[in-house]
Parts: sequence; structure tokens; C-alpha cells
Amino acid sequence: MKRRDFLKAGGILAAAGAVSPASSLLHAGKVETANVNKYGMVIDLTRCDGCGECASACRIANNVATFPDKKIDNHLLRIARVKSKFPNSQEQAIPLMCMHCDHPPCVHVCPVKASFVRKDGIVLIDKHRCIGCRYCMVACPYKARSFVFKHHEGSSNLELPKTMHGVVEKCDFCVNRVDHGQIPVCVETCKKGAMSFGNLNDKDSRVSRLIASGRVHRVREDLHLGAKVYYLGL
Amino acid sequence: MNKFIAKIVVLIVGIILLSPFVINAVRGSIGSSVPALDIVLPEDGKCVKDKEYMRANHMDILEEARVKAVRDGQRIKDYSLKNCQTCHKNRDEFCDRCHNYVGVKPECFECHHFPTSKDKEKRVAK
Repeated sequence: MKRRDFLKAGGILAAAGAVSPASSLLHAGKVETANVNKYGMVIDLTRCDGCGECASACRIANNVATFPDKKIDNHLLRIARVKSKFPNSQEQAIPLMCMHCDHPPCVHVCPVKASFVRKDGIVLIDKHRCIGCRYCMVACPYKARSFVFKHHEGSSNLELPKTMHGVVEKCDFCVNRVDHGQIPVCVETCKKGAMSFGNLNDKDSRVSRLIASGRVHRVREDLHLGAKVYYLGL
Repeated sequence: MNKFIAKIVVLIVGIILLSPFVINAVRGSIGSSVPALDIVLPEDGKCVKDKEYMRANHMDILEEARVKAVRDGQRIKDYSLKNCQTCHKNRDEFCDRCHNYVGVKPECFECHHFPTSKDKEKRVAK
């Protein structure tokens, strides 16, 4: 065989390899069709009194350990208490979490593509991939992400994996529950009905109607990140 | 004379090196030198794929299911680590015995909960 023929044959083989579809090991009977939902949350601050039950429920449901040392104590959902400079102004509690931006800077900076935006708009961390470099923590303007410094024994929710030390964790809208048709734990826990979670693409959903009312604001809207957590009465 | 000694040395070393193969050949146990690992199998005996396939490819199946679940949100129940637990009740009697023999250290169980027989004892003690 001439060198020329050999190269030709090699090229044809390579092209055939590139065209043939990648085989899948899994032969799942029913795979869900493309998800057209886009999830978002509206938090009514006029109803929120800062009891903090959402934060503690979040901790238990997502296996976030409590450490007495504040430096290594993580949270996926925290309650910020703010007060304006005006005299006699009242303290306002604001539940803060990952805002699940449309254009998240954390995803942009991730060197290993561990952070990503799912089709339904939820920003997730693939903890199998995360190398713990913490670029995303620097990039996030909401300080929604925290580094797991210490591994903890035992977990409060055996259904979900706990997070090993050396990766970054953040609120994921309780993606495991959302995939099974439930709502996030914080929304379910809130007794005041201050939080509502739903599909932003569905115009009849509660969140869409609240957003359409025009009274909602987002934190740091000037950054144009397209956050999907809206606040009423901010 | 020197050549003769060298030949003998080569022969002896060759015999020593080949002796394991020879011994196994004489015993007639080539290819079956893996000891019985005393793995506790579920009574049902049926997995999502046949036994031989699972032995060779369970790690690839789990990894692909993992990528689909995390990246695409397609949670295929049959191939999840949770579904393994419905039949294989204890990790240390099934997964670990083989992994320890082969010397692989899968990192799944650092985060994902898979019950061990110790867990069961604890629960009974409570």
C-alpha cells in the first residue's frame, strides 16, 4: 500500500468514527423530554419576620453541618438583618441565597466546568468535578457560595449525599426535590407564606403573577445578571 | 567451562521465574486463582442487567447515570446508587469485599450514604 492510500484510508476511518453516534450504556425506557420550565422564587419581605426556620430546615435537608467556629460554619440560606439610616427605622430580615442568575459569573470563571446552568435555569455545582479552587466564591456578587473546610461524620438527611471537604457548596433550589415534582424545603417550611417557588415560563403561576405586578426587585439589579430570586418590598 | 556455568545459571533462574506458571499448570487452576470472596448476594438474584455485565461495567453505568442526573436532571431510577441499596443491603458485605480484593478505592461512599452492617447494628442498639 502506498503512503498516499494509507493516509486516505486513515482519514475515511477517522471520519466514520466522528459521524457514528456515541453509544450509551443506559437503556432507559422513558427519558423525560426537554424541560421547558424555568424556575424562580419570589420572597415577600412584608410577610417575612426573620424567624429563621427556613434556614434551619435548609441545613437539615441539605446535610449542612453546624460548626461552632463561625469561620468554617457554612450556610446555603442565610438571613441578613438590615436597618436603614433613618431614625426609628425597623430592622428588616432578608433571606439570602443563591440567586440562580441567567448569566452567572461563577459559571463563567469555573476552570473545570463544575459550575453550570441547567436547562431549567438552576445553577448547579457538579461536586464530583469541583476542585475547590474557590474562584466562583470570589466571582459571586451575592456571597452565595461557601467552601467546605471540614468533613462531618453522619448526615441529617440520608436521602441526599453530604458534601466532602474541599469543594464549594451553595443553594441549588433543592434540585433533587424539584426533579421529583416537589418545592424547595425553605418554601415548604415558611409558615408565613412569604416564599413562593414556581415556573417563570408559566404565566399563570404565582411567581409569574407576582413578578408581573411590577412591585418586585432583585438584589443588585444594576449588575444585569438576571437573578431569578425576586423580592417584594425590598 | 565458564560458558557451561553461565548456561546452568540461566537455566536455574529461568526455572525459578517460570515456577509459578508451571505449578499452576500442573494443578490445572490457571485463570481461576481468584479466591471465593464470600459476597452476600440478594436472594432474588436479579439485577438491572445480567450478572457478568454488571461485574464488568457497573462503574461505567453508575458514572453515566450520575452525569445524566447531575448535568441534565434526568434521574433514571434503575441505575441510581439508591436503587442498588434496595437489594444489596450492606456495603461491607457486597461492594467493599470485591473492591478491597482488587485494591480499588471508589470515592462514592465518602458523600453518598450506603448502609453498612455497622449502621444496622447501631439502629438495632438504639
